[in-house]
This record gives sequence, C-alpha cells and structure tokens, in this order.
Amino acid sequence: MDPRQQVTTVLGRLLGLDPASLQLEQRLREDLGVDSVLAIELVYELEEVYDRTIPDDEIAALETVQDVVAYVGALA
Amino acid sequence: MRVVVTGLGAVSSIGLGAEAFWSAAMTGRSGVTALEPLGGFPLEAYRCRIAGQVHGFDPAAHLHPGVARKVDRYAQFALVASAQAIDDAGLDVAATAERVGVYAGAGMGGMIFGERAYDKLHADQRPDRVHPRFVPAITLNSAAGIVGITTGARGPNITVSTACSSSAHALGQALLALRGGLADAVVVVGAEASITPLVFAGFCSLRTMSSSFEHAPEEASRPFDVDRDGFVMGEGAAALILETEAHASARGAAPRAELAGYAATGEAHHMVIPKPDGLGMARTMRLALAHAGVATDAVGYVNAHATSTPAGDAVEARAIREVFGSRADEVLVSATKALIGHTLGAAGAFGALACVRTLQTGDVHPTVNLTDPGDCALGGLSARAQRGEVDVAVLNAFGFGSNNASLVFRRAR
Repeated sequence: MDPRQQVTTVLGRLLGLDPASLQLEQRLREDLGVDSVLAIELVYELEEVYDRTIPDDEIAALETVQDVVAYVGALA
Repeated sequence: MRVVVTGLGAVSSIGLGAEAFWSAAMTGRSGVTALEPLGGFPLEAYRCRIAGQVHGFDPAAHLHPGVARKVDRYAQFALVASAQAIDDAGLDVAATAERVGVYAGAGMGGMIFGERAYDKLHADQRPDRVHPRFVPAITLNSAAGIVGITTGARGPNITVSTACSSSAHALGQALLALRGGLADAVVVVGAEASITPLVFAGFCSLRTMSSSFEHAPEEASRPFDVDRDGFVMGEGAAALILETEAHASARGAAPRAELAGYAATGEAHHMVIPKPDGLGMARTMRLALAHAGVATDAVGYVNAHATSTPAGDAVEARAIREVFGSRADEVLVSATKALIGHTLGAAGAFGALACVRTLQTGDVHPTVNLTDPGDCALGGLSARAQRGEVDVAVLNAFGFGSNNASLVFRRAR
C-alpha cells in the first residue's frame, strides 16, 4: 500500500470516515478533529504497519494529512 | 417526590428495542442458543456450551464508526439501548443538559477489549505496543462515559458495579439522585457483553453455569425448576429514562410507571453463595416496600432474580414466601432469565423493563421451562403467560459479594 493510501486508510478508520473523502491539504486538528489521544492512536497504528518507533515530538510537528503522508513516505 | 419511567430501550437476544423484547418475552421465546466459538478454542474446552448471545448486532447500523470503534461491545449495547430510551421518552437532552444524568450498571466492563490487549501483550512480549485505547475502553464506567458524551447529558455520570445486581442498584441510586435534587432526568442503562474466552471460562470453572442442556439450549435456563443446573450467560443492554414527575409533566411526557422504592443491603455471608435462610433477601424486599410507602398486600407481581442455579432460586422462593406469607401463592412471579439467560450487570434493567410493561398491560411474561418447581413451589409462577391486575411490582437482584437490591414499581397514577 502506498503511503497516501496507508495514511488515509488508518485515519479514515480512526475517525469513522471514508478514506476517499480525506484530502491531503486537510489539517489534522482543525479540519479533522484529531485530538491528542487520536494523534497517539494514529502513531500507534502507523508504528504497527511500519514496525518503527515514531517519536511523539515528530508527530506533534505534523499539521496536515500531506505532512503525515510525507513523513510515512520517508519511513518506508 | 415521585419519580416516573418515561422511556424504554433494549438490545437483547430476543429482539432489538423494548417492544421487540417484550413481545418476544410474552410469547416465551428463548434467546439461548449453542455457543459461538470463543477465541479460537474448541467448544469442548468449555463445560458450558450455550449462551444467550445477541446475534447479528452490527454496530455500524446504529453508531458512528468513529464512536463504535472506541468502545467495547457492552458500551455499544449501552449506546443503542440508551438512544432508544431517550427517543421513546421524547427527551430533549440538550434542552436541560446539566440536569440530565447517566447512571449505568455493569458487572464486568470492557472485557473483550481487555482480553485482546492482554493476549497481544503476551504474544508479542511488547509492553510498548499496548493499544492506547485499552484503558479508556476497559474501565467499568466507559459505557456511562460514552453515553454522556454522545447524548450531551451533563448531570451526574455514575457507574454502579455490584456484579449481577449492578443495574438494579443503578436504578436505585438514580432514584435517590432524583429525589435528592442532583438531576431532573436520568438515563439508566444496564449493559454487559462478557461472553468472552476468559470470563466465560471463569464462570465454567466456578461451576455456576448450566452444562446439561447442550442438546436443547432453549431449555437450559429454567429458573425455579427442579432440573435447573446453573445459569446461562446472556448479554445485552436495557435502558430506562427516569424523571421527576414534575419534569415529565412539564414537558408533557406520559409516565409508563413509577419507581417508588429501593433498598440495598449486604448479606455479609459469602462471595458467591447466598445465605440459605433467605432472610436477607426478605429484609431487602421489606425495606424497599417501606421506602416506597407501599403495603406488602398491595404487591401483585415479583420479577425474581432467579438465575436458574440450584442454590439461589430455592433461597429466593423461600424469601418470597417469608415476605408475602399467606399471599405467597397469589402474587404473580416470573423470572426474565428464563428467556434471555443471565445478563449479569444488565439483568436488573431487563427485569425493570418487564415490571414496567407488566404494570402497563397486566401481562406477565412466562417463566419458560418450568415444569416442576419442587422446593421452589409458588402459586404465582407459571411456564405460561399470565394476566393480573398489578398495581405494584417488586424487582429483586442479588449479586456476588453478598449484596442485595430490591426495587418497587407502581402503576402510573
């Protein structure tokens, strides 16, 4: 699964939204309502997929769906 | 101050919704079937292989997927039953959100989530890979919490956990809260979903569940019958909206029944086994009647706790005889667990639902599988549906840890 598909699949499941409805420019907190617990879950799910440990501060710096896709792309 | 019931909801093994539950109950339909495989273990590994499971429950059909995934099955049941009850009551929670409370009863909590996380921890040997939702999903107040969050109710948000009597005590505590001015309306919900590989095995080990009716699951839950050999585990949720009469009347809501009295006692006897003399149960019923200000002679129906265990049912029959004396064979009695098994923390709320419907209609659901009551003989018990002029109903619920609850419901006035 490519990074964009991976991120929207996980994010869609966490938020209860259709992954196809997620846009790259959407902001995690302001547009999608990703609170601090959801952000931790997002990290947890991506760590499961990529078998990597993602430092909390690195995720905190990500603002948009595109940022997460780019971050994950760099991991893969 | 009078407290009335204005709405009902249910997720049960015999129907979705309070009306579906009640009409199935009146026809004596059993929700007990062969156990679905648990956790990949062969069914032969379990002494008991039957249960009252809620088949075909699809959370996505009722709940936003973003909410459903956060909580355990028991809390999903609670959400659905609560929403039905609020809708049935026509209660606009947002209109007086700070005066609407949530009181939940649950005996086991989010065990499905809990067991999976525990399995994963040991399989992976990775404490750093425990799911972040684990703690908020397993806590016993997760059902009350998510019901409050999704409905917007901002009054007291309380969970009562007293094993098999949890939701009966939740109803009682909600009654006290309403009379004490803590809220004007309360969503009371009992919910349980603990037919899990570990919990089910634990009850098997305790030898409290039926193991002789694998050939005929629907005959296994037989409260007060001589051939009873243990309870059948059920699951589900039942919800009731309680309101002060003034609050209900101000918004034009019709009371279905009144919750008039409550008593809570301890037996100080044994973690599992009820005290054989039945005097503690009898005392609880008498205290609840006194709390309601109702004479014993006014009682027309008892919804018995009767779980279908050899010890418990006989003690309760003795207690009913002790309380009602010469009228013990006249008072109508039924046991809801005959139909849906023992839903543990949800059982009291299901019994309360039956009490309300009996007070409304005069119909008493059958105690199916009762062929010979033996030492539990009470004249008002029947395997068939009964009818009577019932003005007052008593609900009993007893729990592990030696605790008792009785509630008194009255016909709406």
